[in-house]
Amino acid sequence: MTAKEVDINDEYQIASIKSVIYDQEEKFYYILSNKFEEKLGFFVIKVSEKDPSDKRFLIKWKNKLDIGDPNMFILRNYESKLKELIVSYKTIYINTYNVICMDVSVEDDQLMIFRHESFQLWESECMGLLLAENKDFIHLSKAGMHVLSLGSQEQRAIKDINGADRMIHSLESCNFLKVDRNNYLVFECSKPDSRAVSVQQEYSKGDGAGEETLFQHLLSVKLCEVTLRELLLFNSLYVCKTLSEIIDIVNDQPDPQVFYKSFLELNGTNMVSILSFDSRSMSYLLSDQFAQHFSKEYPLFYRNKI
Amino acid sequence: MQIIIEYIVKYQDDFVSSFLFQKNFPTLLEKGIEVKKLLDSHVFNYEFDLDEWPSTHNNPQEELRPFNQNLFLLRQHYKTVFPEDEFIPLDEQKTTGVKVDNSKVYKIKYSLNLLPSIGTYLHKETDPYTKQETSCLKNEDINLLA
Repeated sequence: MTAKEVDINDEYQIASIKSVIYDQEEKFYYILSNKFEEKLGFFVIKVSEKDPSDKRFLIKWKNKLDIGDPNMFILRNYESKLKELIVSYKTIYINTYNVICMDVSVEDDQLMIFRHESFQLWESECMGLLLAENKDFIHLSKAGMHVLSLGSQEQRAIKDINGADRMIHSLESCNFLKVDRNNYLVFECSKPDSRAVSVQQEYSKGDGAGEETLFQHLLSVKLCEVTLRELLLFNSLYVCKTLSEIIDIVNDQPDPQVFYKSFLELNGTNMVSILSFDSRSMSYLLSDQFAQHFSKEYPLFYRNKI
Repeated sequence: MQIIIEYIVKYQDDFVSSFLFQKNFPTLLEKGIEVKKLLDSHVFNYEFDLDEWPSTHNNPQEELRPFNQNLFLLRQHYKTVFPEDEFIPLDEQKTTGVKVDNSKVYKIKYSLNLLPSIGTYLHKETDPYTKQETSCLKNEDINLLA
């Protein structure tokens, strides 16, 4: 006992503390606060158990939003010596449920690895929990249960109650989209019909008290759900015996939007990248007549696993 | 490939697209694929305006400097790239006591040429775990001169 008593609200200029977790291994506390210097946002502080003045802000994201129903977990991987802090919370106004994964084993400025955003009504209660075995994160709400795979296994095949095969893709399986290992991924899944994965770069602006965490957007990829009709079209392309048959199928499509869509079933890529070996298909698919489908924000060509 | 390059120049004209060419650019040259449009675009010419880098200065000269650190850490490296007293930002000149004529100031335009990253180059990196700075050769399998 040092008999030293510290008012952490005054000491760190924080208020509205939402959650605290203790790391037995390193003897540190992680504090989630909603206010810093009277400003609303998402603030996580790492504080030493023995000396409260030994502290470090892991993130100072001044997003001006109230947060609620928070949960914090520490995820360890003893083989890779990684330690991740998982923080989940719901946000007011934009009605989202965020699961943030931070690498706390490094003394770096860029700690965020993933942020997953799904729909959650602010007025409705919810909670999150982390499972030990598969490192699955469960989000429980009145709408039901959402499962996020936070483990290192890229894909996991499961069967539903009707015997249909399903695949759970881990968040890590989208790491190939990063252009640099310092980038982090944002999974924007709050609207079920327009899910996207964005690659962003976290950085700090300002010094001392005025410091805040900001994000630079690099690129986004829309992940679509494949329909039976689209699957049949892809299957037709794969059974073609000659190149000219493929070209005929491609050129016969009045709206080639299906070729621009990215699917998890295609390992996160799109058919344009897969068909890029053929110049005649490319000249049709990338012609200016379909310019309404092209945008800088959602590029067709990005890093993929092919 | 020509069609894809034209598409990238028109619709993905951004430095993020340069990472698509880090391994295959010499192959494009070998195969005689026209890359003029690509070189004229913003793919390998990253024009930036960062809050941490001064936007005006009294020095109107064009300066060419090397940068071997991580591109995404560029905002922290103004003083690494321009360490000389004459390049101290105007707002810091008063506090440091450096005497520079600032009766006339000019807007600065920064750009980073990303072409050197497609061949073999010396890359400096700080290990996030040990904080040790290491220099290593990157893209050793890519030789622009071969």
